[in-house]
Amino acid sequence: MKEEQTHKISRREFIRYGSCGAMGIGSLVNVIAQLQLINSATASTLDIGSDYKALVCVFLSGGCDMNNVLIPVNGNEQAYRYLDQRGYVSIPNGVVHNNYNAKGANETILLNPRPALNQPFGLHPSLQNLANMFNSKNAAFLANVGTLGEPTNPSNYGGVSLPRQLFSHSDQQTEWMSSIADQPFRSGWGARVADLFNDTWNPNSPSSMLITASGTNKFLTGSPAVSQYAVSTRGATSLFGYQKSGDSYGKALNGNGNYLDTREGQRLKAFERIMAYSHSNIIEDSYATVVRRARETEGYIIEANNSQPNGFDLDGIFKSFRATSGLAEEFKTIARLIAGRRALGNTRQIFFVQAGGYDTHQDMKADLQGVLRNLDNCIGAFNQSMVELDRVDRDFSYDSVTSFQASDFNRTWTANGGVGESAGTDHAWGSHAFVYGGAVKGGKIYGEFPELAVGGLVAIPGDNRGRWIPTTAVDQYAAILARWFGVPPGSTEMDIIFPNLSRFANPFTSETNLDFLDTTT
Amino acid sequence: MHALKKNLKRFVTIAVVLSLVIAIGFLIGKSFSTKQTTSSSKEYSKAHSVQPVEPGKSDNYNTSSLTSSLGSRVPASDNLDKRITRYTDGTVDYHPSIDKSRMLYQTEKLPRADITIVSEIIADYRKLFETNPFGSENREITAGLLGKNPKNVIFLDVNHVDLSPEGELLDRWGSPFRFHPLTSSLMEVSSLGADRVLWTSDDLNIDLSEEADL
Repeated sequence: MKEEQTHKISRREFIRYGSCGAMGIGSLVNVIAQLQLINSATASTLDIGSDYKALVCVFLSGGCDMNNVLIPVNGNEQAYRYLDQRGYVSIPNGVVHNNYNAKGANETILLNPRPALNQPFGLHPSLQNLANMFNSKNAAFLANVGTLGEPTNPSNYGGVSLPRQLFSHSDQQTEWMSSIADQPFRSGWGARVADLFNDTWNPNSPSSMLITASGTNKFLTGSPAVSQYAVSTRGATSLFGYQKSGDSYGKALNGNGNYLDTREGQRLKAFERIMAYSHSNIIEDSYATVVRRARETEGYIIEANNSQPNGFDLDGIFKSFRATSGLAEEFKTIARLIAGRRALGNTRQIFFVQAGGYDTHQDMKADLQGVLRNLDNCIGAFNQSMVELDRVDRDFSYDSVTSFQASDFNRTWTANGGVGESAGTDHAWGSHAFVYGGAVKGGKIYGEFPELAVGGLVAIPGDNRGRWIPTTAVDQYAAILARWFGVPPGSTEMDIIFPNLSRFANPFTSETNLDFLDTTT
Repeated sequence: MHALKKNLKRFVTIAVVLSLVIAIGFLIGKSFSTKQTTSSSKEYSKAHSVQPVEPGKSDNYNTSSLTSSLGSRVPASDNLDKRITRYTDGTVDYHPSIDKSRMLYQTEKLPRADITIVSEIIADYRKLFETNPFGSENREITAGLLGKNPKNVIFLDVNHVDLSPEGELLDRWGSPFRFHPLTSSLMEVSSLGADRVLWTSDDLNIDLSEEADL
């Protein structure tokens, strides 16, 4: 019975850990392991020097209500309207309002100094660590960013093409990840960066440049040449059914990586022999190729996990930030792989982590408080781990890792029909996003902060819920990140990665106010 | 005499050939009449009132603007497909959905049946347009079902369904249905229930979140 349970894998898990999902290949391909490789020469580390950069995409699925993350507070000309129009879902911001904040309490965490338009803002009370990063100039916000097919404003709304299936969860997630809002999905922009630059940046790398801690995703889906690799919170994702006493393949392989004469050993041996065949059918052959790559990468992942610098107490850091959730383990896995990056052999690495629970149609205040607190603990711990790594690893710089946040969309400015605590908010459009890391020119709100009002300057015409038309396109936001990562601005590669970028104002000029990353780092 | 005979024969031959040409032309014209009259309907539409509307390209969602012209429409002459009725203003009634909409609010049926009916009408929309109606707010979805779509197709019987002054499709208790677009092919529909208050125990919905696998 117990053994049966170890073989069980839910459909969701199957898809989640299927790093080969882009090719329609399930998780077993990804997770098959061969300890002969793991225990052999692959375990050596590679010299990647100090030229290292990593991008970490933090995707909040469900559509995070960023109107309650970045809040106008007392002294801000939009602060009263925030209470008045958000009503039940508003957070006391220091302004007196007879219905929603009679005592004028302020529960937000003040951002200091005034980060935009010379107006004061506060953060959601669950985001103390993000506020600390912002106030120490290691985090910044980008205001009112979202999916756009072409420049859109209230005047031309109705006359320009809109993002496909605007307001639908999966479509908007897809378009944030692809950056191409007016076309069917073909690839994520992270994968396109890898497709074009992996050979340049990681010429001798034995492992994938694209690693996801949250299962297969579209951001890292591209050509089969650089396929994403899914890691679990234990590091490399191992095949179910072979584990024994903490050893992922203890029932099938001995310490030298040879097959044991057990049922599990015979089964693993048979499977791996089948996978070693060459195939005339290109799909079968691709399948086998991916299997072999997955085997190899698993070995390097394990080695990276085991190659932690002396004095780098990752568990202690995460514990001190109360980051103990499943999401925290995913962040920790990424931090561990960055610390053990020499084993992976990549000078550029893109990571992906995803958190759910943001589709807050109901009980928004309570639910958002919970998910944001968890997120805040995680990003605080992750950020501190990068600071600590900078201290203990002379080849590593805190400036070399930039994390950026994204979500399906923002949520409506006004609450839905729920009364009191049950009220929630619905799907909207333009949102705010935060970035953090040593290269971030922090302490500022970039882009154009919107007028927060039903019928306001950037509201959808005729809309009565308060849905902002984005003033910055995902393409522009992502292009700034890509430039920092090493994609030359104005290059053919930049145009290939972001084919719609030229439709929008040049993000690399000061007029767009998007210069949130220091490219000299 | 011989010349007269010859001319007469020539005349008859020409007349027969001309008749044949006219007959063949008529037959060809008949066989393509759907296509031709469709395009003439489009031209008529272009020249007159209703224009095909791209999803999301109108902010005018109030009920009167959506329904005022629907009562005075004139059927076009080319209604060969029994499932639809084309009108000279370019609108098209899609009867399978309109018939379903007439099943709404039947007190002898459980209220949940209304959720199913609206879901099925949205599924009909997807069959025609391969995507959900544009938007997430009730009045956007309702506008899509009342002809604000690329082919001006109408899916609801405006003489039967209840609409709010803002153009929202109402449930049997007079509250707007709620729509939750999960994917381009999945849309959750819910009702506030008899108490007309959102997020209470009598709310009605069909949860599709697992199916969406988000």
